[in-house]
Amino acid sequence: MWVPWAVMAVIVVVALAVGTFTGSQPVTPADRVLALTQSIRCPQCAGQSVAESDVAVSREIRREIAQRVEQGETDDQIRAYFSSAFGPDAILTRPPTA
Amino acid sequence: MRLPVVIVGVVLALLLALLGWQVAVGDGDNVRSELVGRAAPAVTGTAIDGTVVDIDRDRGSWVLVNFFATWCVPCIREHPELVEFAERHGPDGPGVPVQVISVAFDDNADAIATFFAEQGGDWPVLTENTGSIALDYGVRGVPESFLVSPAGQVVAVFYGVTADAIDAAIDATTASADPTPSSMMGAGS
Repeated sequence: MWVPWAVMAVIVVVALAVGTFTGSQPVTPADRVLALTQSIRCPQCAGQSVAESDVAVSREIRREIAQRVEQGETDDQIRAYFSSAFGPDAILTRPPTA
Repeated sequence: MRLPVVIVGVVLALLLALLGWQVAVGDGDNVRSELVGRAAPAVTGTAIDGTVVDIDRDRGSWVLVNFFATWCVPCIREHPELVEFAERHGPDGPGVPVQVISVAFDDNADAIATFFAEQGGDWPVLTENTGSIALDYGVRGVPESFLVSPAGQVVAVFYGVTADAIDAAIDATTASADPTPSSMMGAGS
């Protein structure tokens, strides 16, 4: 009687593990660009990421991020570039999220 | 029964007030450039008048890198000051030589050519692929101008210039420069 329950428990644990360790990572360049734009604050706005803002500097940052992702830079390298240009407190709102 | 509604209303009002306060005292007034004291990033390209621009070629003389746009009202307002400054520091001017370079931000070449024809100014203006240059300089909006010393170091940033303010920055930097060479010559003789 307990075998079906045990199988179901194993399935649930495996699904949770897969979701935890792989589900939050961006899997395509577009996902990475989106995650990066969400993690960088618009330098000209209050409380908006560059993903949310449509001011000129945010458009430029989105374009630059896409270009750097395409050129093979890592997320850390890209964040370091913007951190160097605008300062860590000025633009980084939070680490990459799901 | 109305007490919870009142509490929720008060909490929401406090949150809105907090949000408003954060917006009001946000970073806008505390903007500062990360570049001051660091080497000036590259500025290269072909200007609208055909001049080949490369800031590295200007090492040994002062350079003013001006980011602007023709749609930007403060840029229009500061332009006469740039013209005045360029005249003071041009070949026939009384001041030390300074190369002014303008970098258009989110603009187009036709509008810029018209702008300079109407407003004056004959220094090189870059219009192509300028977004990356602006980001290298950490430009948040226009106008922003960066004064680069003869050693290639950014020594001042202006969020709207006057000719006198740039001159004051040049004078201050020159006055604080280390007089080591003449001292050493004196000590050795």
